[in-house]
Amino acid sequence: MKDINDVIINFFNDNATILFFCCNLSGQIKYTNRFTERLMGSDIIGKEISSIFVDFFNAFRLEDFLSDRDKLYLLNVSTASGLPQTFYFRFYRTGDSILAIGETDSEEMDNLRRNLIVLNSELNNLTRELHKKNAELKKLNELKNQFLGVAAHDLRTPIGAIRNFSEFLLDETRDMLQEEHVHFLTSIKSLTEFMLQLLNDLLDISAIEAGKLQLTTEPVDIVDVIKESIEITGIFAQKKGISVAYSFQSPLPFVKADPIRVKQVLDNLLTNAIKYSNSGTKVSIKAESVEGFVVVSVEDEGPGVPQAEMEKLFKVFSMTSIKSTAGEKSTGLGLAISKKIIDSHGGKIWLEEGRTVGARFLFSLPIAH
Amino acid sequence: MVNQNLIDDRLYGSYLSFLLNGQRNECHKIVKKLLDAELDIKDIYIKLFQRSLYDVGSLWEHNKISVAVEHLATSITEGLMSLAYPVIFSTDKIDRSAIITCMANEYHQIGGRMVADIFELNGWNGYFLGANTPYEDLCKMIDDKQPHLVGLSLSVYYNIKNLLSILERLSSAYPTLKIIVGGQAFRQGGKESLSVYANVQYIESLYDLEEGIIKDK
Repeated sequence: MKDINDVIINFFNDNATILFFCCNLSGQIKYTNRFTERLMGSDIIGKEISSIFVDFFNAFRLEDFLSDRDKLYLLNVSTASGLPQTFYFRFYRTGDSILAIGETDSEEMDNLRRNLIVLNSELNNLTRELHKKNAELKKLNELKNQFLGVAAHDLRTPIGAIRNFSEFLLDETRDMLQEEHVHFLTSIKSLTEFMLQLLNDLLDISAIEAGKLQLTTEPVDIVDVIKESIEITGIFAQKKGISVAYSFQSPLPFVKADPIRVKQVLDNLLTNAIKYSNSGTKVSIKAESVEGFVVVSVEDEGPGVPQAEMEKLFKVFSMTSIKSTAGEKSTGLGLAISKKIIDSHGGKIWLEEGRTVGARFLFSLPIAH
Repeated sequence: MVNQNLIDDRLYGSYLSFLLNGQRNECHKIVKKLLDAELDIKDIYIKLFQRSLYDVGSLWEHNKISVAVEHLATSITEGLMSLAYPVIFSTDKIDRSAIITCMANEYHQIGGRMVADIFELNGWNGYFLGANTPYEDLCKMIDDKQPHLVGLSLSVYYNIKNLLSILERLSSAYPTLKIIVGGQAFRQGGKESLSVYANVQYIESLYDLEEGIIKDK
């Protein structure tokens, strides 16, 4: 029987995750278990029990803890690692010895908790670093937009002059020029027109990203805007042998919008539809009222947009793999600008998914009340 | 005009109670409300974060709360500090930088982080290296960033010998580098031991830091 008692005592001595102190009546530690030695250091024997408790304000008096055997005392103890730990203590007096037993969550739990704190701190530091880098990037982006804005603005005047002079020469001197020279001048005019479009788009993007897109909204008859847009873009369609058709729900409520900006969106969608359509096909525009919004769609019979490329369509400078049918150029900014404009109106712009032929772009604008 | 007295005793009492009970969302609501009211970030740091953590520390020292509760309150506060970052990091920068760190074996990092943030708030680049930073890592960062000053935070008094040893090595390796030192540990003494270092200055509070160091440049 004595052997079994020894086994049990030794087992608890080696394995129990409790603090166990046995000290004399003056508080000097005479005996501890293995866990205590591991946590507090092997030199614990002989120390005053009061020296292990962390309390900056009250002197530790052992007799204060002996009056009630059943009471649990929450006490923080200093450990060999330097980091204090919390235990719930009971104190017992037996003859000329005092026993102090401190319970806590398991050692493993304490370690987990400590590791969690370290990880949390690291996460917080990384979050701080991320915010710092983001702020730096935001400032760099603002600088880039300012640069773009200034550069585009300053380039627009001389390039506009080149476009006008090339147009003037074509109009006034065409009969005197060789065919090759006419071709050169036509190229100069066409390229400068593209450059002007690019500069205008860059100015728009830099203004939008700087939060300077100002909308002057009013009740607008969207049918008028669509017809106005078709008047100009229809000329290009006609040149390529593409027909443009439209149909509107009648009556169609007015939308709350900036007519100039909405026309910019329509011009862009119609130009794109014509750009990617073949001769003999049709571009259709429809408008109808749907749950508080007017939805406008622009549909073509071109090659459509591959599913994999749909996601990047409305991003700045994103180009798809689809080629225009007559070599027309694209700045890669038109749809990004259109999205910003429609978003700013509280509407939505999207491309219909799941089509096998052609592309159908739609946008919605809130109805004016 | 922002009411600078938004953090009165009543609001503070609620915040502290939420913090001690681990009610992160409630603490979040209070801080968000103060930020939305455009209260001075420094006031939020000092009158809410610092004050509450001092009180939490005191409760722990008096064995009123466990270490786990203290750690939870610290973690919550660290998370809440990031709510102010959009404001803190959007200030216009000046050509000044500071590296703030806690030394090896120093695990209480929140005070140091507050110091680094106050630098940022004043247009400095405030690099914060975090808790338990080895001396060699600090030196690498100093060589890399060439800061105008280095700040060392000390929270636990028994680490003071370690601090003095680091100061000795830093002063010898970087004789002209300005070093500031501060933290809760100095409540228990030790300020006088810093006087032997000509380039080391003790900073009592975040207000002192701003008035005496940052604005003085």
